[in-house]
Amino acid sequence: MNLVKVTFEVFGEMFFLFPDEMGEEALPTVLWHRVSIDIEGSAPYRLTFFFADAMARVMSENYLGEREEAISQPMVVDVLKEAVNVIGGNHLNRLNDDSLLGIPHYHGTTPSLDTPGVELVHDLTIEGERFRVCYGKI
Amino acid sequence: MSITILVVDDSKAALFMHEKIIHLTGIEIGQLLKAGNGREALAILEQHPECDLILTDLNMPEMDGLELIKAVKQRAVWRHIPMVVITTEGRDAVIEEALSCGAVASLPKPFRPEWVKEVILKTLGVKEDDTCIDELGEGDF
Repeated sequence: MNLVKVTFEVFGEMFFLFPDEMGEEALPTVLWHRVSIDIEGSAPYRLTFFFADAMARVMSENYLGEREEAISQPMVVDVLKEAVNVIGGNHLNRLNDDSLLGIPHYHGTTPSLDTPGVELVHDLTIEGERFRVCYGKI
Repeated sequence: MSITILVVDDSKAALFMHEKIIHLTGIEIGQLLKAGNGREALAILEQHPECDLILTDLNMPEMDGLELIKAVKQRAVWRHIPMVVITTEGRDAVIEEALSCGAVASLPKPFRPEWVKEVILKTLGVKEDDTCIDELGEGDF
Protein backbone atom coordinates (compact mmCIF):
# COMPACT_ATOMS: atom_id res chain seq x y z
CA MET A 1 0.00 0.00 0.00
CA ASN A 2 1.19 3.49 -0.85
CA LEU A 3 1.10 4.75 2.74
CA VAL A 4 3.23 1.91 4.09
CA LYS A 5 5.70 2.25 1.25
CA VAL A 6 6.03 5.98 1.86
CA THR A 7 6.45 5.35 5.59
CA PHE A 8 9.31 2.95 4.92
CA GLU A 9 11.00 5.44 2.61
CA VAL A 10 10.69 8.38 4.99
CA PHE A 11 11.97 6.36 7.91
CA GLY A 12 14.99 5.30 5.90
CA GLU A 13 15.71 8.79 4.56
CA MET A 14 15.01 10.88 7.68
CA PHE A 15 15.72 8.52 10.55
CA PHE A 16 18.04 5.86 9.10
CA LEU A 17 15.58 3.26 10.41
CA PHE A 18 14.18 0.41 8.36
CA PRO A 19 10.77 -0.91 9.41
CA ASP A 20 9.32 -4.37 8.86
CA GLU A 21 5.67 -5.30 8.84
CA MET A 22 4.55 -7.14 11.93
CA GLY A 23 2.74 -10.42 11.92
CA GLU A 24 -0.31 -11.27 13.95
CA GLU A 25 1.33 -10.81 17.36
CA ALA A 26 -0.37 -8.34 19.67
CA LEU A 27 1.20 -4.99 20.28
CA PRO A 28 2.66 -4.61 23.78
CA THR A 29 1.02 -2.47 26.40
CA VAL A 30 3.07 0.69 26.51
CA LEU A 31 2.41 4.37 26.38
CA TRP A 32 1.93 5.48 22.79
CA HIS A 33 2.48 8.94 21.38
CA ARG A 34 -0.48 9.64 19.12
CA VAL A 35 -0.05 12.01 16.19
CA SER A 36 -2.51 12.61 13.37
CA ILE A 37 -2.70 14.60 10.18
CA ASP A 38 -5.80 15.33 8.13
CA ILE A 39 -5.92 15.15 4.37
CA GLU A 40 -8.52 17.66 3.24
CA GLY A 41 -10.46 17.62 0.02
CA SER A 42 -13.56 16.12 -1.53
CA ALA A 43 -13.04 12.84 0.39
CA PRO A 44 -11.21 13.89 3.57
CA TYR A 45 -9.44 11.34 5.70
CA ARG A 46 -7.08 11.16 8.63
CA LEU A 47 -3.76 9.43 9.07
CA THR A 48 -3.03 8.51 12.68
CA PHE A 49 0.28 7.26 13.96
CA PHE A 50 1.13 5.63 17.27
CA PHE A 51 4.78 5.61 18.33
CA ALA A 52 6.07 3.82 21.42
CA ASP A 53 8.07 6.22 23.58
CA ALA A 54 11.32 4.26 23.19
CA MET A 55 10.93 4.41 19.44
CA ALA A 56 10.18 8.14 19.56
CA ARG A 57 13.48 8.70 21.37
CA VAL A 58 15.46 6.65 18.85
CA MET A 59 13.84 8.59 16.01
CA SER A 60 14.74 11.87 17.71
CA GLU A 61 18.36 10.86 18.30
CA ASN A 62 18.78 9.74 14.71
CA TYR A 63 17.05 12.73 13.15
CA LEU A 64 18.69 15.42 15.26
CA GLY A 65 22.04 13.71 15.58
CA GLU A 66 22.03 14.41 19.31
CA ARG A 67 22.29 12.13 22.33
CA GLU A 68 19.04 11.17 24.03
CA GLU A 69 19.83 13.12 27.19
CA ALA A 70 20.23 16.29 25.17
CA ILE A 71 16.77 16.00 23.62
CA SER A 72 13.84 17.51 25.49
CA GLN A 73 10.38 16.00 25.49
CA PRO A 74 8.93 18.93 23.50
CA MET A 75 11.60 18.33 20.88
CA VAL A 76 10.67 14.61 20.73
CA VAL A 77 7.07 15.66 20.12
CA ASP A 78 8.24 18.01 17.40
CA VAL A 79 10.23 15.26 15.71
CA LEU A 80 7.18 12.99 15.68
CA LYS A 81 5.03 15.75 14.19
CA GLU A 82 7.65 16.40 11.55
CA ALA A 83 7.79 12.67 10.71
CA VAL A 84 4.02 12.60 10.25
CA ASN A 85 4.17 15.82 8.24
CA VAL A 86 6.73 14.40 5.81
CA ILE A 87 5.02 11.01 5.53
CA GLY A 88 1.67 12.72 4.92
CA GLY A 89 3.20 15.00 2.31
CA ASN A 90 5.01 12.24 0.47
CA HIS A 91 1.88 10.08 0.59
CA LEU A 92 -0.11 12.90 -0.98
CA ASN A 93 2.54 13.37 -3.61
CA ARG A 94 1.97 9.83 -4.87
CA LEU A 95 -1.79 10.30 -5.14
CA ASN A 96 -1.59 13.14 -7.63
CA ASP A 97 -5.00 14.57 -6.76
CA ASP A 98 -6.14 17.91 -5.36
CA SER A 99 -6.18 16.92 -1.68
CA LEU A 100 -4.58 19.32 0.76
CA LEU A 101 -2.26 18.41 3.59
CA GLY A 102 -3.31 19.58 7.03
CA ILE A 103 -1.01 20.41 9.93
CA PRO A 104 0.09 17.53 12.19
CA HIS A 105 -1.63 17.36 15.54
CA TYR A 106 -0.07 15.79 18.65
CA HIS A 107 -2.68 14.19 20.93
CA GLY A 108 -0.42 13.29 23.84
CA THR A 109 0.38 9.83 25.15
CA THR A 110 -2.15 7.06 25.61
CA PRO A 111 -2.10 3.38 26.57
CA SER A 112 -4.95 2.78 24.12
CA LEU A 113 -4.65 2.27 20.38
CA ASP A 114 -8.39 2.77 19.82
CA THR A 115 -9.06 5.11 16.95
CA PRO A 116 -12.69 5.73 15.96
CA GLY A 117 -13.44 5.49 12.26
CA VAL A 118 -10.26 3.65 11.38
CA GLU A 119 -10.54 1.61 8.18
CA LEU A 120 -7.00 0.34 7.74
CA VAL A 121 -4.31 -0.45 10.28
CA HIS A 122 -0.67 -1.35 9.69
CA ASP A 123 1.55 -2.46 12.54
CA LEU A 124 5.23 -2.05 11.85
CA THR A 125 8.35 -2.82 13.82
CA ILE A 126 11.82 -1.35 13.85
CA GLU A 127 14.58 -2.96 15.88
CA GLY A 128 12.11 -4.45 18.30
CA GLU A 129 10.06 -1.29 18.74
CA ARG A 130 6.55 -1.01 17.38
CA PHE A 131 4.47 1.63 15.77
CA ARG A 132 1.08 1.72 14.13
CA VAL A 133 -0.16 3.59 11.08
CA CYS A 134 -3.92 4.06 10.67
CA TYR A 135 -6.08 5.38 7.88
CA GLY A 136 -9.65 6.46 8.49
CA LYS A 137 -12.40 8.78 7.33
CA ILE A 138 -12.81 11.97 9.31
CA MET B 1 30.85 37.22 1.08
CA SER B 2 28.71 36.16 4.02
CA ILE B 3 24.99 35.97 3.69
CA THR B 4 21.91 36.38 5.87
CA ILE B 5 19.29 33.65 5.56
CA LEU B 6 15.85 33.57 7.15
CA VAL B 7 14.40 30.08 7.62
CA VAL B 8 10.69 29.75 8.36
CA ASP B 9 9.16 26.52 9.66
CA ASP B 10 6.63 25.76 12.41
CA SER B 11 8.60 22.68 13.45
CA LYS B 12 11.44 23.40 15.91
CA ALA B 13 12.96 20.05 15.02
CA ALA B 14 12.93 20.99 11.33
CA LEU B 15 14.45 24.42 12.09
CA PHE B 16 17.20 22.69 14.08
CA MET B 17 17.94 20.43 11.11
CA HIS B 18 17.70 23.24 8.54
CA GLU B 19 20.35 25.14 10.52
CA LYS B 20 22.62 22.09 10.68
CA ILE B 21 22.24 21.35 7.00
CA ILE B 22 22.81 24.96 5.94
CA HIS B 23 26.04 25.06 7.93
CA LEU B 24 27.07 21.73 6.39
CA THR B 25 26.97 23.30 2.93
CA GLY B 26 30.17 25.15 3.82
CA ILE B 27 28.75 28.45 2.63
CA GLU B 28 29.73 31.32 4.93
CA ILE B 29 26.59 32.31 6.76
CA GLY B 30 26.75 35.71 8.43
CA GLN B 31 23.37 35.38 10.14
CA LEU B 32 20.86 32.53 10.23
CA LEU B 33 17.51 33.89 11.35
CA LYS B 34 14.64 31.60 12.30
CA ALA B 35 10.87 32.04 12.47
CA GLY B 36 8.03 29.69 13.40
CA ASN B 37 5.45 31.03 10.95
CA GLY B 38 4.85 33.73 8.39
CA ARG B 39 3.89 36.37 10.93
CA GLU B 40 7.07 35.90 12.93
CA ALA B 41 9.04 35.99 9.68
CA LEU B 42 7.60 39.41 8.78
CA ALA B 43 8.48 40.74 12.23
CA ILE B 44 12.05 39.51 11.79
CA LEU B 45 12.31 41.05 8.32
CA GLU B 46 11.30 44.42 9.80
CA GLN B 47 14.41 44.18 11.96
CA HIS B 48 16.61 42.63 9.27
CA PRO B 49 15.98 44.17 5.85
CA GLU B 50 19.51 43.05 4.90
CA CYS B 51 18.23 39.49 4.54
CA ASP B 52 19.63 37.83 1.38
CA LEU B 53 17.42 34.76 1.12
CA ILE B 54 14.28 33.30 2.67
CA LEU B 55 13.62 29.56 2.93
CA THR B 56 10.06 28.89 3.95
CA ASP B 57 7.89 25.89 4.69
CA LEU B 58 4.44 26.08 3.14
CA ASN B 59 2.16 24.44 5.68
CA MET B 60 2.25 26.55 8.83
CA PRO B 61 -0.36 27.84 11.26
CA GLU B 62 -1.23 31.55 11.61
CA MET B 63 0.35 32.55 8.30
CA ASP B 64 1.38 29.90 5.78
CA GLY B 65 4.18 30.00 3.24
CA LEU B 66 2.08 31.27 0.33
CA GLU B 67 0.70 34.13 2.38
CA LEU B 68 4.24 34.97 3.49
CA ILE B 69 5.49 35.04 -0.10
CA LYS B 70 2.67 37.37 -1.12
CA ALA B 71 3.27 39.65 1.87
CA VAL B 72 7.01 39.87 1.18
CA LYS B 73 6.51 40.58 -2.52
CA GLN B 74 4.07 43.37 -1.72
CA ARG B 75 6.68 45.40 0.18
CA ALA B 76 9.11 47.33 -1.99
CA VAL B 77 11.87 47.08 0.62
CA TRP B 78 11.67 43.24 0.61
CA ARG B 79 10.54 42.50 -2.93
CA HIS B 80 14.04 41.74 -4.16
CA ILE B 81 14.69 39.00 -1.55
CA PRO B 82 14.60 35.60 -3.27
CA MET B 83 12.31 33.08 -1.62
CA VAL B 84 12.62 29.30 -1.76
CA VAL B 85 9.79 27.05 -0.59
CA ILE B 86 10.38 23.89 1.40
CA THR B 87 7.77 21.30 0.46
CA THR B 88 6.71 18.02 1.98
CA GLU B 89 4.36 17.30 -0.89
CA GLY B 90 6.39 18.22 -3.93
CA ARG B 91 3.36 18.12 -6.19
CA ASP B 92 3.63 20.20 -9.35
CA ALA B 93 0.46 22.17 -8.60
CA VAL B 94 1.73 23.17 -5.15
CA ILE B 95 5.13 24.23 -6.45
CA GLU B 96 3.62 26.06 -9.41
CA GLU B 97 1.37 28.02 -7.11
CA ALA B 98 4.33 29.02 -4.97
CA LEU B 99 6.32 30.04 -8.04
CA SER B 100 3.42 32.06 -9.40
CA CYS B 101 3.29 33.94 -6.07
CA GLY B 102 6.95 34.85 -6.40
CA ALA B 103 9.06 31.96 -5.08
CA VAL B 104 12.12 31.21 -7.22
CA ALA B 105 12.75 27.55 -6.35
CA SER B 106 11.62 24.67 -4.14
CA LEU B 107 13.35 22.16 -1.91
CA PRO B 108 11.65 18.87 -1.03
CA LYS B 109 11.68 17.55 2.53
CA PRO B 110 13.69 15.78 3.75
CA PHE B 111 16.47 17.63 1.99
CA ARG B 112 20.19 17.09 1.68
CA PRO B 113 23.06 19.57 2.11
CA GLU B 114 24.10 19.30 -1.54
CA TRP B 115 20.60 20.33 -2.71
CA VAL B 116 20.54 23.26 -0.28
CA LYS B 117 23.98 24.39 -1.40
CA GLU B 118 23.00 24.24 -5.07
CA VAL B 119 19.80 26.20 -4.46
CA ILE B 120 21.51 28.86 -2.35
CA LEU B 121 24.36 29.38 -4.83
CA LYS B 122 22.04 29.39 -7.85
CA THR B 123 19.45 31.63 -6.23
CA LEU B 124 22.01 34.20 -5.14
CA GLY B 125 23.82 33.97 -8.47
CA VAL B 126 27.08 33.25 -6.70
CA LYS B 127 29.85 31.05 -8.01
CA GLU B 128 31.30 28.61 -5.54
CA ASP B 129 34.69 30.34 -5.39
CA ASP B 130 33.10 33.69 -4.56
CA THR B 131 31.97 32.51 -1.16
CA CYS B 132 34.13 31.35 1.68
CA ILE B 133 33.44 27.67 1.36
CA ASP B 134 35.37 25.32 3.56
CA GLU B 135 36.32 22.01 2.10
CA LEU B 136 33.73 19.50 3.15
CA GLY B 137 35.31 16.54 4.82
CA GLU B 138 34.23 12.95 4.60
CA GLY B 139 31.36 12.18 6.88
CA ASP B 140 30.17 15.77 6.95
CA PHE B 141 26.87 14.68 5.42
